[in-house]
Amino acid sequence: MRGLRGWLLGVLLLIAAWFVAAATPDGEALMTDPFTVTAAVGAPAVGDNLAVNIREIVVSDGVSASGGWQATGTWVVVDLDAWTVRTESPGRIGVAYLVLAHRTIAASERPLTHDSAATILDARLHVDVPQKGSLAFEIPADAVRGTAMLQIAQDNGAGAGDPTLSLEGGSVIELPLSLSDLPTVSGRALTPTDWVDP
Amino acid sequence: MPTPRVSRFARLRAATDRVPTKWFATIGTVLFLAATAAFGGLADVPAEAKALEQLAAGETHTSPQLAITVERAVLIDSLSGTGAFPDDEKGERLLVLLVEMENLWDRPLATFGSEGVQRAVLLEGDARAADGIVREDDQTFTPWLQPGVPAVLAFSWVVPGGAYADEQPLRVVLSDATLYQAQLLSSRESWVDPAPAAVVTIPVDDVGAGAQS
Amino acid sequence: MTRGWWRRNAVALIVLALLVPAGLFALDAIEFGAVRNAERDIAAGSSTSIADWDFGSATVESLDPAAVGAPRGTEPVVVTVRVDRGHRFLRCTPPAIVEPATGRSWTSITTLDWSPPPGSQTSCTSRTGIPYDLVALVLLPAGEGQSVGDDLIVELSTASNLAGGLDLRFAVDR
Repeated sequence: MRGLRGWLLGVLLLIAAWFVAAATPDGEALMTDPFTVTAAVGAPAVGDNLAVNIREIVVSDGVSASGGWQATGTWVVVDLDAWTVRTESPGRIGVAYLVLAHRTIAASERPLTHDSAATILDARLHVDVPQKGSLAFEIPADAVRGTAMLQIAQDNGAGAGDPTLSLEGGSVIELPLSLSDLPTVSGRALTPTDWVDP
Repeated sequence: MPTPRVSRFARLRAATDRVPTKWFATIGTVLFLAATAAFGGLADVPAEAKALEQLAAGETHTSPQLAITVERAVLIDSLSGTGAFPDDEKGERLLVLLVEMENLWDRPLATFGSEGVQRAVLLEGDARAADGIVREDDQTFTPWLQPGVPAVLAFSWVVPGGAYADEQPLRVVLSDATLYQAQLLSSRESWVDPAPAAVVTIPVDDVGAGAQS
Repeated sequence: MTRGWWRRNAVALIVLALLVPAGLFALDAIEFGAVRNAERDIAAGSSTSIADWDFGSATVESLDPAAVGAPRGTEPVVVTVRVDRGHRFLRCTPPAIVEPATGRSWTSITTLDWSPPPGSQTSCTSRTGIPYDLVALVLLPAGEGQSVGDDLIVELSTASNLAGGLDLRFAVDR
């Protein structure tokens, strides 16, 4: 096709290509978007490898754990059973977040200072052999109200500092919470990480 | 036939043949320097010295990322649980700052790594971040700072024995980082480019070997 | 396509015939090479060689949970692979158990009351020429619907500078 018609067709094809490109979903982002599994208290929730059964969640004024660790402040303590369904390497709760209205809290590593079994965060999990333990979230005293979202996932290597980045590429087990409806206790003891059925 | 071109070129060559080659280098240098002078010269322009907030012990410096309060400065022979290990044979000691920090951002901040908040508290004249950073209450090493939850941290530096003296006014430089959002590769946000923003002048308390506990 | 057409485009077609398969191979290697090792299957009771190392045969032996402090409803097993190492440098992982039917896999557990018997060890490093048993304790579930069948593979990952990553998959008779 010569001359003007050729040029015109070329330009039209280019414009059409732009529309096609714009409509194509972002493959990179979709590939890495986390896959969400919504949990309910007392029932197993299974992700692509990680599985948990959340038993109880409380708000506690001060906490303690095995090894003699204790802390003051406002804490949300999650007791759960955890195991993996496919592989043991990797197989840990690497990141856990409590997403509040305006802030995201990461599960505390503080109990581990005195005993590596004080919290189930980062504990090595086993395929189809569950363990029980606790996650503890240290929250601002004025944040015990409204709704929050508990998120539990394996660590993809990005670490706890970037909630969007560290959840990419895998499954996330989520549980919506109403903080003001949670039971309030004092000096809650975290469950030491151990077999569910020793 | 490109005859006009040849003659024009020939005329140019004739003209340049008259200028000695070695002059080109000098003329070029002069022109370059003149151009750079017009744009501010070759020497680095020193950053404008921003007026630093002058604080005393117990006063809080606030930035969009952190609220920092330097409470106490202690000079001690050694202290377990600080993450810093002075070499007794070299006469080294520890300079320990007790600092209350509150994460004012919306997600956890690390006290380690290239973008950690340990860069925010430095000793004047010393570019090293602290050798050990622990929580004062449970000695958690390089703790995470949860948003909205203040924590008292112990920043410890290994220092030569004679570097600081009892009641010497110590100047602690607090730096502010800027929130940066990567555009191309990811939507990740991080705090970068810490720049001095405040100086806390605090007297050093030499406690010798420390209390027996 | 006349014969003339073929002859005129012969070079281009030959190049295409070489480049397309090479491109597919390269794409596969690049995209999946980082995730997947080459695999070698070994029959039950047999051994295999990589470089100048001999691996195999592999066995799986059940232990009583109470004897090693394992929880109820589990089956601790000792996985053993005979190793006769050579002079070449080779890295290998402790043996793991893979269940082909479900894709589940279990790796060694080190927190139970168990230590390698004499003549065996849990890592691949040793002096050349002295054969040993490479062992690992693995905790398998034994509860209802969870237990692992008899169809098991003992998997050992090896890596060397020459051969790259190679996963050895030993069939075992339980």
